[in-house]
Parts: sequence; C-alpha cells; structure tokens
Amino acid sequence: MEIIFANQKGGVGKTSLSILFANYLVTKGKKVIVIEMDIQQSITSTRSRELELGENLPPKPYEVIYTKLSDYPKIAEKLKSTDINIVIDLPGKMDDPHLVPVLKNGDLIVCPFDYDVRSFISTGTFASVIKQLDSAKEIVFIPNRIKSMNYELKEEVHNSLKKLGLVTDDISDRAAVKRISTFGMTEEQKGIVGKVFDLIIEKYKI
Amino acid sequence: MNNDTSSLVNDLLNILQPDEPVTQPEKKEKVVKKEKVTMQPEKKVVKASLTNEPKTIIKSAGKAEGFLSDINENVKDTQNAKVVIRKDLYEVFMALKRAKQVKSVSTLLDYALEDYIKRNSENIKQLLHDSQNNAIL
Repeated sequence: MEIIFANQKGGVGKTSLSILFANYLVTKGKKVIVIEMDIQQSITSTRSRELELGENLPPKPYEVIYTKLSDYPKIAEKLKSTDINIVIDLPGKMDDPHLVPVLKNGDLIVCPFDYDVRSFISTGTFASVIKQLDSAKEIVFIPNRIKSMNYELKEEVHNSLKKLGLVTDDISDRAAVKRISTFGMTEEQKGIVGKVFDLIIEKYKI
Repeated sequence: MNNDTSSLVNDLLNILQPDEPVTQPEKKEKVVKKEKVTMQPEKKVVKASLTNEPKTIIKSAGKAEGFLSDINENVKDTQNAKVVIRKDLYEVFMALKRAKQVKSVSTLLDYALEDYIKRNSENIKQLLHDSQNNAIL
C-alpha cells in the first residue's frame, strides 16, 4: 500500500509524521519502506546523521530511499506490485506536474494541517485539487502540532474538511514528537500518535 | 528487514541509481535558499465607519491578496460592514465573519479554491490533462 504524506502547505509536519507513521507500522509488525521525494532530504539526512553518530543502534527498521519526483514513474509499477507498505513524503507544493502520478497512484493521501486559516485554506485547496484529479481518492486529514488552546474555527474546519475526507483527532504539539528517529519510536511517542494511527491502519486495512 | 523488503529496496535503488553501488544515498548538506523578502509598509488600520456610508476596504499583503480581492468585491456592495483591516488573514476572516460577510470557513475555502483555480488555470488544466491522459505514467 502506498501511503502519501502530502500537503501544499509547508511546515505542517509531513516529514515528522511520515517517519512516526513508518516507525509505528514497524511496531505493529508491518513491512515498510520510506521513499522521500522532498528535495530537502530531511529523512535521508536524519538517517545518515544517526548512522554517523549513533552507538549501539538497533537494526534498521526500514530502508529510506530518496528519489526525485520526476523519477517516480520509473518505480511506480514496482511499488504497485508489492504488499510492502510504502510511506512517501512529498514536498510541500502543488505546482509540479510530476506530483500527478504519485498522487494518482497513492492508495491513501495523508494531509497534516493545523487550525490556522492559512493552513486550512492550503489544505482544503490541495485536497480539492486531488479530488479533481481523482474523486475516489481517499484523503485523511490529521490536525497536527495542535496546542492546548481553544481554536475558534476548529469545528467549522472539521465540518468543511469532512466533505473531502476523514478528519482524525488532534495530535498535540509536544516536544516528544519533535525528537524523531528513523530507528524507532518511544513509548511516549506511541501514546501521542497511537490513537490516530490505529484509526488509519484499521480503517484502510494497512 | 526481511528478504522481500531487501529485495524490493535493491530493485528500487537499481532502477533509480543504476550506476551507483546499492547504499544509502549520501548525506546532503541542507541548502538554505535565500529568498528576496520585500517588506511592505504596514497597512493602516482603518476602523469601520460608524456612519451609513458603505465604506469597506480590505487590503492584504502577499498571498492573501488574490482571494481577498474576491471577498472585497462582495463586501463592497454591503452597507455598514464592520471590517477592520489587518495584515493577518485570520483576523481578516474573523472580522468578515463577525461582520457576517462570510458564513463559514467553507465559504472561505470556496473563495480560495476559486481563486487558486483562477490563478493557476493553465497549471490545473495541465494537471487534469496529464491525469486524464496518463501522460506522465
């Protein structure tokens, strides 16, 4: 299954959540490969840094592969024909036609966002464009890095995004989910993201 | 990792990097792209008119400008709209909401989508064209 972490809005936690999700799938005994298509290569850099600096590291729970968006068609068929879970981290943009095959091939699009109006507009527009590309595409919206405050627009944002896909519970803005490793996750991290990720895993039979 | 995962990883790397040994991609220094930042002068905060004049002006900075201009068109014709000009989109939206010029964020999303499609009509057409014809895959 190809699970794509995407949103045209940057800074909403696509990369962090994609690593956490990959780590979580591994804790559930699932086979995972992470493919990074964001030119920033944050995941690849994190993995390299951990390999350089880490001591007594456990075996790699999954491989991280970086590839350019434009190279996706070369591997699309391989990815489609496997039962291994492919977690893809896309760059935060929507103006690149090379996104089309990735978004079209993906089985599930996961869009992190927050309740800021800018983030909501970007997310909603992005999801609407995906629906124009493929009206049957499954989209999950994860309110991410949510602070413990009262968001005036929360209910409205939920109601609006529910028309485009599934909106999960919030993932709170905690320091624990910022210290991310590509070699596994802590119990605290599991506690923070577990409920949301379990819902996704169960609903979409990952 | 088990065998089938390793095998797929090797296949993928061989496709993507046919001339390179099968290893982790090398570490890449993070490049901080310098963007030209143009500071705009602070917009004047204009409080809503307390008279019956239909004076409502919304101005915005940067990206918000496009779709706000749409909202502005709607607001222009409305009497006594109590809108305060702010740089922040959230404040503009909440002001519009309080002034009952937009009912919900869904309305705002409609404006945003319409504006996005307007501004990116060629790109969207291309995306849809590519999508329908599978031009890339």
